Parts: sequence; C-alpha cells; structure tokens
Amino acid sequence: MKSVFEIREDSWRATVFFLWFIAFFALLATERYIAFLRPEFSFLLGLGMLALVVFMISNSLSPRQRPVSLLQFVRGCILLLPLVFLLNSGDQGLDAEAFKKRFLGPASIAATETVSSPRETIELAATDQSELSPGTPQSAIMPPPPFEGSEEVTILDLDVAPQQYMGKHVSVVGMVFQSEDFDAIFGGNSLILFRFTINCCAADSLPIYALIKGKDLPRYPDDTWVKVKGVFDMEHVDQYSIPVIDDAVLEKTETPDSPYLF
Amino acid sequence: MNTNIVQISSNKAAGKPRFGLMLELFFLLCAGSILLVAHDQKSIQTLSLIFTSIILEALPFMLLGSMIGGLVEIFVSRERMTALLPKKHPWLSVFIAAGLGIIFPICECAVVPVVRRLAKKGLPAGAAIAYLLGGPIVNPIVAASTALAYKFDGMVVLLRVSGGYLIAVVVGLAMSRLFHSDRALRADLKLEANTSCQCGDQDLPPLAGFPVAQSADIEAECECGHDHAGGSWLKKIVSALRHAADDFMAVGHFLVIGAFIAALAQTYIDRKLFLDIAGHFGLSSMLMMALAILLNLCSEADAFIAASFRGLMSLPSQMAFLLTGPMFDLKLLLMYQILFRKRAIVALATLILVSVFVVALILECIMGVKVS
Repeated sequence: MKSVFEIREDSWRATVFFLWFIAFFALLATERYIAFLRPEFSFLLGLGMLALVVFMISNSLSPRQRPVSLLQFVRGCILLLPLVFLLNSGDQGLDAEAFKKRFLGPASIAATETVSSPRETIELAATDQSELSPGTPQSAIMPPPPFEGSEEVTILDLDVAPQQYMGKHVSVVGMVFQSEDFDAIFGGNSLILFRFTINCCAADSLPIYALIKGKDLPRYPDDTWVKVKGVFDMEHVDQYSIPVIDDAVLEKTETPDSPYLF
Repeated sequence: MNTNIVQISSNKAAGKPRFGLMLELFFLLCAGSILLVAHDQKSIQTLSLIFTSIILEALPFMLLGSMIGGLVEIFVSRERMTALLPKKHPWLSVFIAAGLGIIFPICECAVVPVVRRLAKKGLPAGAAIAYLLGGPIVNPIVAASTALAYKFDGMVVLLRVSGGYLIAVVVGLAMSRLFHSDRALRADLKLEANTSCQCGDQDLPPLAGFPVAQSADIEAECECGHDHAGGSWLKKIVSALRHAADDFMAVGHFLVIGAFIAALAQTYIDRKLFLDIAGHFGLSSMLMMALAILLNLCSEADAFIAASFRGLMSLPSQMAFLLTGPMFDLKLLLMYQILFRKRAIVALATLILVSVFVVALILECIMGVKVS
C-alpha cells in the first residue's frame, strides 16, 4: 500500500509508544489513575511504562526506513484515541446516571447468608412474620442501644455487615441523588446516598447505597458529596431489605481521595 | 515457491481499497465526532471514564502478552515446538493445551498475541484454540477471584473451571475436525521459513520485489519467517522486542475498538432490563451471555459482576455469563481476525456460544431456573 505521509514507520510507532508512556507517567505521578483503577494496580501502569520504554529502545536499535502507510497511521490513531477520552473523563468518577443504569432494584446488593441468618433470628422474635408491614424498621422489633456517638463507617461496611451497625449512630460519606422510585415507596422526604465498589477498574463497578430519611433534608444537586450522620437500620419492602439511615443530618463534604470503595 | 506465495499476497491486496481500513477509519471518525459534539454531556464523561478504565487495565497485559509472543518467535523454534507435541495421538495436544493455563495463567488480552506466535511455530490449530479459550478461565487467578466473588462457594468455582476446560476441549477438537490441516489459521501465519523480507534485519538480503509495503495483511509487521536464532543475545532480544512491537501494533487497535463498544453498552444499557426475563428457561442464560459479550470484562473481575446478580438471576445463567466472557466478547471477536480466517471465526463463535448455552441448559435442567 502506498504511503500518504512523509513520516517514517518507526517514527510513527515511537510517537505512539511515547505518548502512551507520558500518559502512564502522568497518571501515576498525579495519582489520577485511581479514578480508573484500583490503587494496587499502579504496578500495571509501571509494567506498561517499562514495556513501552523497551519497545522504544528496540525501535531505535532496528529502525525501519519505509514510510508509514495509511493503514498503519489509522491504527496508530486508534491506539491513541483513549488518550483523548482520558482528557475528557473529568474528576468526579461515576455518577448518579451510572448508578441508575447499574442498580438492580431495591434489594441489598451484597445480601449474604451471614446477613440473612441474624435477620431471621430477629424476625422470629416477632409474634408473626405478617406483622412486618412494608417499611417496618428492624429497630421496632429490637430497641436500639443507648446513643454512643457517630461511628465513622463506609457504605460498604453497612452493606457487608449491617447487623453490626443496627440501631447505632453512624457517619457515612457518599454522593446523593433523589430517586423517584424510592420517593414513591417512602414519600418525598428521602434521598439516596451511594458510592461504587470496584474490583479491578471502573468498568466492573457495582453500586452500593443507603436510603437517607430525615426531617427537612437539604436538597443538594445530584452527585454532591455529603457526610450523613444518623441511626442505621434495615427496612423491608416486599422481599427486599433496604439499608436506611434515619433521623439523618447532612452536610456537604470534600470529595474523598478515591471515589471508589474496595 | 516463496516467490509464488509473495505474489499471491501482493495480487490480493494491490490496488483495492481495504474494507477493514474503511471500517477502522469510520470508527475513528465516529468516536472522534462523539467527543467533539457531546464532550460536556455527563453520559459522555461516563463513557470516557469507562472506556479509559478498560484500556488502562488491559493495555499493560496486552503489552506483556506481545512481549511473550516476541520471545516465543525468537527463542522457540519450530523443531522444539514439534518435539513438545504428542506424536502418537495428536488430539492429546488439545487436552493438554486447554489446561495449560494452570501452569501459564494468561488473560484474554494477552493470550491472542501469544497464541499467534505459537501457531506460527507450528502449534496445531486445535491446540491453539484450546489454549486460547481455556487459558483465561482454567487458571488459578480466575479460580481465586471466582471463589472470592462467590464467598468461597466451591461448587461455583468447580463449575466454572471444569466448564471452561470442557468447552475449550470440545471447541478445539471440533475446530480441528472442521478445518483440516490448519485451514482455520490465516495464511500469513503459515509463511514458509526463510522467506526474505525487508524486516530491518540488515544481515539478511531482501527479496527483490517483495511487496511488504503492498500486502495489507502483513505490511505493519515483519512476518518474515526468518530464523533469527543466529546472532548475539542482544540481537536476539532486540529482534524479539521488534516482533513484540509488531504484534502490539497489529492487535492493539482491536482492543480499543472492542473496549469502546463495551463502554457504550455499559453507559447506556440499563441492567434492570435483564431482570424481566429472569426465571425463563433458556432466555435468561442467553441474555446473560449477551451481557458478557457486551461488557468486555476481564476474567479476573467478571465473577464479581456475575455475583451481583445472585438473588436476581439463576445460577445457570450466572454460569453462562462466567463462561462466555473470557472466551468470546467484542474485543476478542475483533482480535481473532489476526489469527483466523473469517469462516473459522464464524465457526469458532458459533461453537463457543452453542457450547456455553448447552452447558447452561444442562445446569438449568439439573438446578432449575429458580433464582438462587
């Protein structure tokens, strides 16, 4: 195929490798990579940098004199395309729109057997299962312990081991949004507090959430980072268990270093 | 003989606009336009974030896989490869290759350049396919991540690993029967040894008129079939790395295209749509397979996504998701083009999807379609 450019093939390759090397370096140096990857995966970018340096060296040691073809140029541009999108990805991380697309209903995302067993114990304490009407908080069955001060926890802590925090005052950081679905069930005086957990990268992120209930909750715009203090509880709607922070007080807060939980 | 092969390649590519090039150019223009027109929209920022995430995680693995492929090209001779393969029962190589991931774990991004080089060294197509499919599933890292995602439920791990092995063997054997004498592989993977070319190796004279620049299939890479075994260690290493860079440039753009389509699916498809068909015999598995193809997740992380459907989808449909993703998704479909002929890709895709679906149906018959 004829060349349409005056660029040599090895020069174009070196350009592609170099730009990716700069991108990896910048992501590591500014720690911006944590918006995309688990922090532990910084070694991946380091490996990538090493491979790119090695490729650039081998490229210079055995240069190809022929000019770059249109096909090679287009493929190189495709390889550089993610760098352009990287610049457009913003600082916020995944937002309420992503939450709505990934959210799988009011059921607790990390419902586990260890959660259900203690809940069964509590439910047996009630005289009849049918007494648990929708929206009945667990603390109505067992009275909450005396006030102990707010315990700093993450939404992931509440999701994984809710029984540990039942009835306790907790302080949680997350993003807010107003959900019409939950308003329909719980009335207008509620908000969703959410974050995302990731295992490898933002592509495999899973949403976790808690329902915030309280008097005169401030209506921040969606995706505002807030700190919420209140009493943690679990409520039942049909067959779903919903984590709830009741008597909540909200205040705006700084975006955490990492937008994700692990 | 070598001249005839060269002339056939030349005639095939000369003077005609390549459909692949047009498609790649079209993709580039579309992706660029999306960014230009809607860069400040929230959904496009989410798309950018997810697209970049997939690439940042996959690209280092692809670089690593290319380096391994380059080392295979230089340091593994055809004779050594032939000596390793079972001679009495060649079909045994499929069974061995499908389980090689236990010793040489590899992810689906890195496996394609590695298998490409192994195939060039004479690894039979059936065994190549078995490792291609089995390597990313039948390995300790994926077993560990699956165990973690499913709270150390041994049955799920066993189902995934054994199901992956079984499908890799079945598809590898079927492809070796359907495509006799390696007709599954692309012609440029079977260039005769010692074909001279302008690969940059100054010690070997180029064949006059060799249309390296004209053959669209091989112009981006050496594909010389040289035996680079001679020369100093430094020269061999440099040669290996040059081949590695060739592989990366040949495969990398497929990863980008596949990741972009996956990011589009992740940004705009509502996962709640899948809940409507939960509990339908066969349908839920099919849809979970489609989700696996669209999401383009790595095999180390997809178990956590599948586990998030517990309580919402049946275990057989979750298993369909877990088996499909590492063997067949959008980026793999594109990357297979550098390994296989088009007819072979169609056959391979059909065999993989049918095999996974059959396994899912069998599991549904045994376990039922009830949500776990």
